[in-house]
Amino acid sequence: MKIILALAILWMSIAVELAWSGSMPQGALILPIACGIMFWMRSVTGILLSATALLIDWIARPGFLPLCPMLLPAIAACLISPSSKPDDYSSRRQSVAKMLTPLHLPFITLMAVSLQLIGQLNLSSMPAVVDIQSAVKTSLPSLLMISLPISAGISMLMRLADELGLRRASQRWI
Amino acid sequence: MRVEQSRHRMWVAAVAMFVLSLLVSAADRTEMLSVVQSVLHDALSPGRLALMAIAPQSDDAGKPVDAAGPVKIDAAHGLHIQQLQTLRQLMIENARLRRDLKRSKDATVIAEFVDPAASLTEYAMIPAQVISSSGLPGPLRELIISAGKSAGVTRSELVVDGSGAILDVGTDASVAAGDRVLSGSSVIGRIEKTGRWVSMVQPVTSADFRAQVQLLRASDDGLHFGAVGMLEGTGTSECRLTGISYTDAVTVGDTVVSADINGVRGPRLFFGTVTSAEFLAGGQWDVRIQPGFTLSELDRVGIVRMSLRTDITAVSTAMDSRGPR
Repeated sequence: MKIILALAILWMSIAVELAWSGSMPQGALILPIACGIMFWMRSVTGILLSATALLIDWIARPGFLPLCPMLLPAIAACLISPSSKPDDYSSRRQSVAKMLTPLHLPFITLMAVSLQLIGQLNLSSMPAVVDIQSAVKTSLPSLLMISLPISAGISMLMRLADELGLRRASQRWI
Repeated sequence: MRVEQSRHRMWVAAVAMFVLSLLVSAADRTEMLSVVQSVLHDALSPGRLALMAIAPQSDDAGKPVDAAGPVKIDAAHGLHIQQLQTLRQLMIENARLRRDLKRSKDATVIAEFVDPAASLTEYAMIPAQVISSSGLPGPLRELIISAGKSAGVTRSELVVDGSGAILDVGTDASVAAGDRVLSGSSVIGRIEKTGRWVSMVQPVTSADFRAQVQLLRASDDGLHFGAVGMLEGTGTSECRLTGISYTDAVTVGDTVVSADINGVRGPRLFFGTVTSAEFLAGGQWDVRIQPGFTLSELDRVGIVRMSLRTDITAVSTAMDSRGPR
């Protein structure tokens, strides 16, 4: 059920981007949602589903390199893979890494947006400074303006679902 | 143990996606993905079309709901509310009709070079939106547009830019009503494949693109049509002109327009401008053409549709049946 829901959300987000391709920058919706699904599901299935959706999006609207489906699963695996170190419950203080956990999703979204912009540049030759400047000045703000609030919203939703016990917590590392 | 297994699986999945992405990227470079692209866009089209259909309706739908709100009112006010509601509905209907009229006008805006009364064929433009373009940023490899078999699009139809014919000269430049407009629509390419809701366009710069074109030169004496040749895509950002006889004159700056549309004489569509013309030692012209469209402005296009004028054929058939008197 969860997989079907994730598939429907990813399919719809690509459809929304295609429908309003004139007004919405490429990846503004699919990137935070794909990252959100990876973090929500915290499993191999989540990583595979999101990366496949990103790859499909790239096939539908190809750029120079599919950097997002190439590298995002690895970054996500770094952040969400379970730690073999046991949690130290003896001290009541939370570790800094644990405190920064809610920021992981906006961070990976930021990485995804950067990868998306780099992947759209023509890297067959050294990109001109003007191209990089125009990508950073025009595309980056519009991408971040949409994707970061969405990712922050998903992050808060995940926290709320954790508090209410709506997320699957059968994994031992959570 | 389970933690280790899970971590291991995640890394295997990440590496698998990396390899798959590399393979897909390589397949895209060798143009093996064009069939998959068309199928993917068709699969995504129901959602896209549903969203596009919902979007304008939601703006209109907001208004009549407000009128239905105050139900608990006396009879005198009831009639007034009903009239207001009818008025609003009429206003919405009026707005819809205006929108439909604008769409139908957009669909038929195309500059006709030949006198319509003398032609048995008529041309219309089917508007479409560019969904995706492949190739960065110089050579455009292919283009996917939002019109397919369901809109009656067939293979080999010409695709022009959707900006329409806007002239930046007026009566100050002695332009008057009735003057023939030669250009206005730049040819982007030709329909290569059609899906149900999307079509794939082969751009003029594609290595397989061929079209019969004619040179057009502006001089103090007016416009002069020159040699007829074959425009060929080169796979780069420019095109080449072949089949020009060594006795014909070609100069840099000459305009290249269509000689015909799929073998039938029709409107002269703009292909590009001659950027270099060198006479080679073997007695051949090496003519290079810069296409007329700008890649950054390609968001709306039009498909040139040719059809037979049924009213003229009906009249001629009727005249034929009466016979000579």
